[in-house]
Amino acid sequence: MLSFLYDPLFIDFATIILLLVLGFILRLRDTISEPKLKFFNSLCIDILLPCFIFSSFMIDIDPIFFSNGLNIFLWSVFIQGFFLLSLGIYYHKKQNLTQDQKLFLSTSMPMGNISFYGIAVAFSFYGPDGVFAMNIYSISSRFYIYTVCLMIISGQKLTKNDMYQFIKNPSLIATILGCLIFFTQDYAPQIKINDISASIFRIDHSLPFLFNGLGKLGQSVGGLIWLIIGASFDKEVLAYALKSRLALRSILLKIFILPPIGITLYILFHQLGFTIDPIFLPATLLILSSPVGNITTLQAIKYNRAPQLALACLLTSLVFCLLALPFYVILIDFLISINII
Amino acid sequence: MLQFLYQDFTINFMTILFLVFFGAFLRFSKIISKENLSFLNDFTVKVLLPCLILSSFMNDLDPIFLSNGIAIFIWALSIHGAFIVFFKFYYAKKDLPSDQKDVLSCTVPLGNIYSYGIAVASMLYGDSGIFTVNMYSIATRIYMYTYCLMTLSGAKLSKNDLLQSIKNPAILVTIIGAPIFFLQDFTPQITINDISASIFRIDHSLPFIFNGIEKIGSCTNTMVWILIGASFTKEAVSYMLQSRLAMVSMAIRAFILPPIGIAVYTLLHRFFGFTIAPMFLTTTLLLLSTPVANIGTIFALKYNKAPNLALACIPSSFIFTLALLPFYILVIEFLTSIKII
Repeated sequence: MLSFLYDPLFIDFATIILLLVLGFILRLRDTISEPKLKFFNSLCIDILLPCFIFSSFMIDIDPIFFSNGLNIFLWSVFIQGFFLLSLGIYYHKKQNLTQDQKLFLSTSMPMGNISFYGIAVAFSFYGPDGVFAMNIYSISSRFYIYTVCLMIISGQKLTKNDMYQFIKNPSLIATILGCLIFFTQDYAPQIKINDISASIFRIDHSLPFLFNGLGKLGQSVGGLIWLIIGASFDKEVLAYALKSRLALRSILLKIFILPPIGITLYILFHQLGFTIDPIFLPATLLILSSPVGNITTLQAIKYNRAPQLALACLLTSLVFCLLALPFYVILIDFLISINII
Repeated sequence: MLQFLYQDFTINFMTILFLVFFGAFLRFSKIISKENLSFLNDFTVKVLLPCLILSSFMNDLDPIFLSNGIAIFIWALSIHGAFIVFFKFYYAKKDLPSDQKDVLSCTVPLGNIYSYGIAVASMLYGDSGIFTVNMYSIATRIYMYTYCLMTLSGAKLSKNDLLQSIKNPAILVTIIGAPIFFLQDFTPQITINDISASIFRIDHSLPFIFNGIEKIGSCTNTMVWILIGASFTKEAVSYMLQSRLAMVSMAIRAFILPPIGIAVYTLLHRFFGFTIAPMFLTTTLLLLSTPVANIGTIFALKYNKAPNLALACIPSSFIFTLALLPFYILVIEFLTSIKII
């Protein structure tokens, strides 16, 4: 009767909910107060997450990674560009929105929350392969966020400083560095340790203590991220989110309409011969239903484009995204099992 | 030539050093400010550590745990009791202001068993190490909250202080976890997937709660090392350099107490048949060499007993302990291997 309690999918999902609730309790009890939350957030995003990303590239390369890496990248460029364009037009034509709301919605709805949410989910459900897919996916996602989205939301041309911000983003640096080491490991100088030969840049092999240290820092992300998300629910935002019909409608669109469109598009492409291997595919499609991104929300707050709406959307999207998560996991598994994708 | 870099022992120790330096780097680059440091400290001790302790109790009970747990407890109670009596007389005869006498006679014989001890033990020896620390710390906490608190507060021991000590989350989870662990064979059993175990063993009966707790708990040792590194501020270092007394006392603590403890154990073992199984022994003896306790320092600050001296003890005790850690591990393992202890 209670056997669902011991289903791996339920365990993963309920663990996430438990950590969110714990984070929320810590927030309510003021153990994690507002300023501390900010610090905690940046510690996670700027320090721990890059460590996690970098150490996740320290694995042996298989030819399967090459073709799939490229395909995941192409797919992410296409699908996010497609949503940016179509939602941009959609919101532009809406009559009853203010200019600020339009700008915020047309940048936030198409983009996902890769670093905060995507990697953690992919890791919980699909392990290292899922994380690999997310890392590749994040390259184009970051590119869009720091160029197109930033340009739209700030209403300015990109300055050198913006590009600089984009490039010195720690997660991006970790991704690019990790990618380089990963993909070129067969051509880099080799070093032989304990009779096993591998690239000198594979620090898990050449400098195990450094790899252990970075790995330990990175491991903490998995648990802490959910605590932080839980702790960011706060009473005022909660009240606004409950009242705002606009936030609700936009998020319903994002979570329940966009992913099916994306999956349908992939099915079409797949019939035409475009393929991502089933070990990477679930994570790649699951990210379509991710909550609103942190960076786009922060940008909206910084440039004062409907900041309350932005926070409300972040919260609402998280709730719906978690509700929809088991459904999409099962749907994607089902589609793969009947060989449609 | 660089072979030593790839031995497990070096890797573990250098990982610790790396994390400590990383913490110091975060502090110096102002990523962790002073307020944030105390927040992280609080968070680690009140949230992460209790989760680690609770999840470490979710293990099968081997008869070996029962007898050794008692032996570890008795050992900790007697050796620290002996140290306390000795230093009480030792400092009583010294020509020092009475405040300083009080602080030193509390900080020298007792150490930071919980956060430091658990960080070392969980990293090097896993669950049996954490178990050892739990048993050991029950004894040291008894001294901490009776003798130390009375000495430092000038015997104005209030009920409130004692209540506080019980409300401490790390103690609460030990009080909850220990009975679950030791009584698991006598509590109601539940059969899941054909395996039967106690209903209170949440790793068995409610795996999602266990997963969540374990996920958070596993961040503990990483955070502790970072915090230790981050506590080396300019102020702390200058305190340390100003106070010769602190340095000398901490040198006694780090260089003299552990060999005495090891010698006493050897005597007891050879002549009175007192035995702790090797899987627990290394951790037990390593706990003789820990930095000063947080609680002791906090009491000293709270009751204004030579607060500068108490603060100056922290960095010097960390440096000595970390520097001696590999040495003591090697000595203890050597003594175990030649069957002297």
